[in-house]
Formats: sequence, C-alpha cells, structure tokens
Amino acid sequence: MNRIPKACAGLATSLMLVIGAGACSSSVAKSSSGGRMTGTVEVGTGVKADLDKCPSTWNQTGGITKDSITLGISAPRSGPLAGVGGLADGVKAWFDHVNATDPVDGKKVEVEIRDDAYDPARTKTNVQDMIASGKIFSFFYVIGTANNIAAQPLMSQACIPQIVGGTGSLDLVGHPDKDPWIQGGLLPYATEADIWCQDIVARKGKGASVSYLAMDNDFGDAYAKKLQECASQGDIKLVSQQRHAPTAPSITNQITTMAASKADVAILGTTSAFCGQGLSGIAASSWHPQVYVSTTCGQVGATFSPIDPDGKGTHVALNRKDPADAKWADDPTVKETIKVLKDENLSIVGTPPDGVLLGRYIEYAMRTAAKMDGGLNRVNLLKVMWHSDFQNPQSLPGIRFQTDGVKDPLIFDSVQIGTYVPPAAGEKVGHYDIAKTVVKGR
Amino acid sequence: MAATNILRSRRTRRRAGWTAVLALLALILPYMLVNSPQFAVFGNTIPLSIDVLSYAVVAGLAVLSLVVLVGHGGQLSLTAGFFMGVGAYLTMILSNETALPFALCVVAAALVCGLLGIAVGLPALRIEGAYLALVTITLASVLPSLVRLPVISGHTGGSNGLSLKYTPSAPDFIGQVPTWLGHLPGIGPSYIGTYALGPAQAASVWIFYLVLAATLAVFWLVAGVVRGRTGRAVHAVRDHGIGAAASGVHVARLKVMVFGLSGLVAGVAGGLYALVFRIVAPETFGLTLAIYLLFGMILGGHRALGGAVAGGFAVAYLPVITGQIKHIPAVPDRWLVGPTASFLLGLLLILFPLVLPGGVAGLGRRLGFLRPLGTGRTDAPAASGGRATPPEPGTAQTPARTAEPDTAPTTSARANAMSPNRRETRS
Repeated sequence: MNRIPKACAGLATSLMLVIGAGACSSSVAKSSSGGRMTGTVEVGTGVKADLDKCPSTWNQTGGITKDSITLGISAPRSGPLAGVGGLADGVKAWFDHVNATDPVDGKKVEVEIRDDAYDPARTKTNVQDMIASGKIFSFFYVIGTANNIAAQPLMSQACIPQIVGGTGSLDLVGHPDKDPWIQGGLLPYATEADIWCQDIVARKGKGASVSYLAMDNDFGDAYAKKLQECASQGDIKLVSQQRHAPTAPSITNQITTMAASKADVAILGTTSAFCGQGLSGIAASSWHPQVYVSTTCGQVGATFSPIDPDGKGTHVALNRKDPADAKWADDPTVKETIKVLKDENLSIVGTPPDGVLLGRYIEYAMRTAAKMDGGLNRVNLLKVMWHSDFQNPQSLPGIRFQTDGVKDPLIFDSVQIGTYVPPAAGEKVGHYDIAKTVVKGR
Repeated sequence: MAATNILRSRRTRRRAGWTAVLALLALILPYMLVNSPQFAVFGNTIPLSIDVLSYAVVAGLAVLSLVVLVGHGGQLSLTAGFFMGVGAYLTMILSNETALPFALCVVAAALVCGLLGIAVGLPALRIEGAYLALVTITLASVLPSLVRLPVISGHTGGSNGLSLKYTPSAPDFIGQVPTWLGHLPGIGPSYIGTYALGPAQAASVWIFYLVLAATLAVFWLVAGVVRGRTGRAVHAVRDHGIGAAASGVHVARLKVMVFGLSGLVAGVAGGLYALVFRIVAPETFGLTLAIYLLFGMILGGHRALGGAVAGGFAVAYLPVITGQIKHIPAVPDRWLVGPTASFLLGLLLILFPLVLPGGVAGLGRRLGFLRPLGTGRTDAPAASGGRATPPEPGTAQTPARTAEPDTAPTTSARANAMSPNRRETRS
C-alpha cells in the first residue's frame, strides 16, 4: 500500500485537530458597562494603582458579564500537596451557596480552578492562560510563595487583582505601595513565630530555652529566621534547631535530638502529618516541654483526633472556628459551614473549611465594592482590599479582617492562643481552650 | 534490487509526507496556541497554551535521555529529572550572573550535566538492575533539598526559586506571521485571524522555535550515536556484556559514556526548560518529575527515539488534562470533586502500558507507520558506502525479527555483541 495517502490523512487529521482547537477557543468576556478607567487612583492609605500601565485591552469590569462574575485560582490538585488545593473547593462551595441564596450584585459567581501540582512553572502557565481567556475578574489565593513569585507579575501587569493571595511572604504582600494588585491571605509565618515568642515570654519569662523543628522550605525558613531574630533580642534561648525535608518519611531523628536538649519549649514549625508525628514523638519521650505547633496544623480533626491524647496542652495560634472542634458544635456559622461543605461532598477536616472562611471575605469584598460609585469593578475591589473591616462570622470572636493600606496591609495578623484539650470520657473529639486576649504580630 | 528500490521510494515518499505534516504543524501550532485557546471535551475545559507545547518538546528531550540510558544502555535509572534540574539551575545561574550568551549557558550547563552523568555512571559499573534504580531514585529526590542548602541558596534562590533575567527578543517577522497565515484560504481568517503579535506573544513563539531547533539538533546527534558504531557497541553491552567484552568492547567505558550522554541530553532539556518558563523552583525537579519522565519513556517505547516525542507530550499534557477533568460520562460529578487529578493520572499511568505494551512506537509499528524493530535499514547502503547488505523483505530473517518484542534482546543484537562493527538494526 502506498503510504502517501496515510501522510495526507495525517495532515488532514492534524489540521482538523488544530482547527477544532481554534473553533473551541474561548471568547473574550465583554465588560458589562462603562468606559475604561485611566489615570492613577488612590485605592488605600498610601496605595495607588496606575491604570495607565494596564494593557490596552484592560477594562475595570473585565471578567464580569451580565450574568456572572468569574474568579480564578491556581492550586495543587495533584501531587504530594494536593490536599492544600481543597481550599479552592471550599471557596467554590461557598459561592455555590451564595449563588443559590443571595447572588452577589445579582450575578452568579463562578470559580475557575486550575491544577498546578505546586509547580511554579505550571502556576505561571495557568495564570497566563486564565488572563488570556479574558474571563477572570479577580484571582484569589494562588497557593505558594515560589508560585506567586512566578505568577504575580503576570497578574499585576494585567491589572487583575489577587484578593487573599496564598502566600505569607512579606516581600510579596507586605508592600501594597509597590504592588497594589496582591493582598496577603495568610497569617505570615514570621508574624506567627513572633506571636509564639510573645506568648513564650508572657508565660515563661525572658530567656526560656527553646528547641524548634522547621520544614526545609520557605515556610520553615520564615519560622526559623524569626525565631533566630527573637533569640538574638534575648527573648528566648535557642538550644536545638532541627530541619526536615518536606518529603521526609519520618521526623523521629529530629524529635529525638530535640528531646535530648531538654528545652522548656518545643516548637513544631512544620505541617500536615509531621505535626502529629512530632506530637506523638514528644509524648512518647521523657521530655515534657510546652509545645507550640504551626497554625497550619491547628485543626482538631486533622492533627489532634488521630493521636489523642498525645496533643494535650499544645498551644496553637488560632484565628477561626474549627468545624471539627466540639466547642463550636452549636455555633450557627459553623453549622452553616458544615452544611455548605457537606452539600458539595467536601470534608470538614482539612482545607475546605478555610476555603469557606475566605469565601465569606471575598463575598464581603465584592458586595462592598458593588455599593461604591461605579459598582463592582476591579478598582473598587482594590479599594476594599486595602480598606477592609469585616467581622467574619467564621473567625474567632474579636478577630476582624482589617486592612488600612500601607499602615496595616495584612488581613491576617492577629490570633488567639488555643490550648488543646483531648476528649473527656464519653466525648468523641477534643477542643481548644482559647485565651480571650487577641495577640497581634509586631 | 528492483523491489528494494520500490520500497526505498515508498519509504522516502512516506517520510517526506510525514515530514511535511510535522513541519506544517510546527509552523501553525504555535500561532494557534499563542492566545491560549481552550478545548471543550465532555464539558471539561482543556487549556492549550504555547508554553505547554514548548514544554512538551523539552520533556521529549528529557525522555530521550532516558531512552538512551534505559532503552539503549540497559541501565535502569531515574536520573533524567535530576540532570534536567541541574541543567535548568546552572543555565539560569550562568545567564543571570555572567555575561555569557544564553546559548553558551545552555551548552556549559549541559556539559556539566554530562560530566555529572559520568560521575553517576561510575557506581553503575558495580551495581545494576534494581540496585542501580534505587541509587538513582535517591538522586532524583535530592535536588529540591540540595538547592535549598544555605551555602548555595544565594545563587539558587532557595525555596523561592530563581527567575531568568534574560529575555529573548523575537525577530520582527515572527510577529507578522499571523498576518500572512490569516490570508490562507479557508482556515486563515476564521481560525488564526489577521493580526500582529505583541512582543510577549512573539517571544513565546520564538522561544518555541528555538526550543524546537535545539531539540531537533540533539535528536539528530543522539540518533547518529545510537545508530552508529558506538551505538552498536552499546547495544552489545546491554544485551550480552560478557560477549561484548570478549569481542573487544570496552564495557566499563561504554557504560559510563552512556550515562554521560544521557546527562548531557537531560542538561540541554533543563536549559531549554529555563528558557520556556523563565523560573525554576525546587518542587519542579523532584521524584514526581522523575516518575513522569520514566512513564513518558514507557509510553513512547523505551528504545524508540521518535517515541520520546510522544513521551514528552504525555509528560507535558497528561497532568494538564487530568487536572481539568470535572466530568466523565457515566461517572457522577460528585465523585470528581476534590483532588482527583492524582488518581486520574495514576490510573492513566497504569492503563497506558497495559493498552500499549510497546508504547506509541509499538503501536506505530503494528499499524505500519514505523518499521518493525530488527528489520534493518533498507536504505543503509547509501549511507554507509554500501558496506551493509540489507535483508530483503520476505526472506526468512525478516519475519522472525519482526516478531520479537522490543523489550527482549534481539537476535541481531546478540549477533552484534559478537561483531560490533557490523551495521546495527535500527531502533
């Protein structure tokens, strides 16, 4: 058989495929109203957005149609950190609930989720694609510092806000005067470490001996650096500094070394299963320090229940109500959160409840922006991002989502210290005893 | 002889046809994808961006490094991701911190990777099989920690990764091509449009062509090695080391050389990766990438150089596609809520080798698009000065070789072990 026809068939098929791809291309969303804003706009105290630098195709209402508003996120949905991406599902679940009950500005909020497997190169490609689609009104919580370093310049150049960005890096989120388009959506790890320091000094006095374990990445680096700063100021005395790889199978060696230091305080600046491993390791040793764990391990259901009662007395910096905590079983907001998550077949353990918490704030920000002159648009959203004052019902009482431009750029910078109490006889899950005092990072 | 000429003529025409198809695709695809179109399949939105297309080409090169090492060298190894990472980091550091032209940075990084490959190959003289795989798994997982070491994090960017400062500027004609393509009758105005690309879009297209050119050059070089005398000796060592040594082949030197070549190829892939994405970060080059590349090699066909291209596309596109799947016919949507991408990808990793045991190359052979393994090059005499006598189709030798699975040592390879100077079958 002559092969040329096969090659021709191949050519035809290939062309059909590329034509098909073109035919299925997304259309650029049209703005719902108004001309393009120009000039430099003050969007918060000391925060200005230069709209003349935005692309010629930019419009403040991009991503809003007459029926819908689209939010975008790139998050790990595969790979070792796939669980973290559950936060995106939580946000989507919240907006599905809002769309069904009281739509924002009369429109349906759609959430576009792209998987990046926590690979910054894929984050960049995802964000690039979503910007090119013209559909995205605002991004939210793109997860990871390296990922934001890769992708935020694209969002800023495209003049598309990232509300509650998924990084605690102060270089990225601490200077809205340099880049007004990203707002931090995490308690910065350095701030958390500073709060630990303050709490240790308050409970043990200056100079308490501290042994810490930090994960070997930007997250652990931030904790380690702040604790070293704290030690250099004489607040604490570091007697053992341990690190572990994010992919380590076990941290037994590190815990053994920490236990040998007999420090007054142990800090587990790590996350996920390592927290439980560390707490169990300390409980099994003859060492009885005051233990602090990262706020990323603050969930009762994920961290403490599986190892009860090994986490007894552990201190955690908290800012929200944990749906798995028995303390909040009758709280109406927590009940609503659980219902929203269960309606979407999502777990109340892990990151989806955090997604609902953030979803509530994003909803507040969009509703507030919609009431401003010009209605819901990206500039008004920036104004809310840099001047927020919101009592999120899912936050602990007394903790508000507040920002004020360069004076107070961090939406999460205050916590209450919780002390874990394992379940008593007859109880299924434990709870936190939460200190009434709100502690703010310095 | 007449039959041979007819076959050669058919093969030449077939090859010309396929070359034309691929050249046309290479010309058009970047322009189709430069605006990140989306493709709808069963209600799932699949994005097709030009960066992923460029990455597919780069990944093909990384898979090629495994084809050389595992398929041809017979060394079970997971080092491709490591060398790719080292190549990417070194290229970026050299480009950012010296005044060297970017191309030289890639070459220098690749050479360092080649030397590292030789260093890694030395233990392979003592260990092989599963034990060697175990050693290389360690290497595959160590890079993310290595680049975070405080002593070098000032250069590597530590946990936050590193951004490339060099920006290639595309020649003017690159941005004008859509205007010309847009006038193609039929498809132009509807599917490409008549517009000039902006600088960033033109740069993306230009980077694709640069990456494609570099990749083709490396494929050509590797094909030359694999199909030449050195390649025959490598195959002899792979298939029967003792026999090869008895025939005067320097087994140790060849084994180490294959590791070096593999490292070099993966190093080039790393350098090109840096150019495509302009950022490298520790998480990118861990064990997951090593496994993906191994899968790409199996999917493409572990001894098929051309199969590496298919493997590269699988490495680049399968994670993108599985990450976007929210609907599958006959599967309730609620089962697809949450991080299901890992599960779907894992399922594909299991299913593909079952459905395509010989990889894409094996399928191509079954369908007649590719020549079966072990049938020899009928056009060899012209290339080799007429030294070889190609097997005639229909002789007793051809079907016997055709029937051999490409995973088993071939009769011809065993014969070559005894005579490495003889022209080798084409892989």
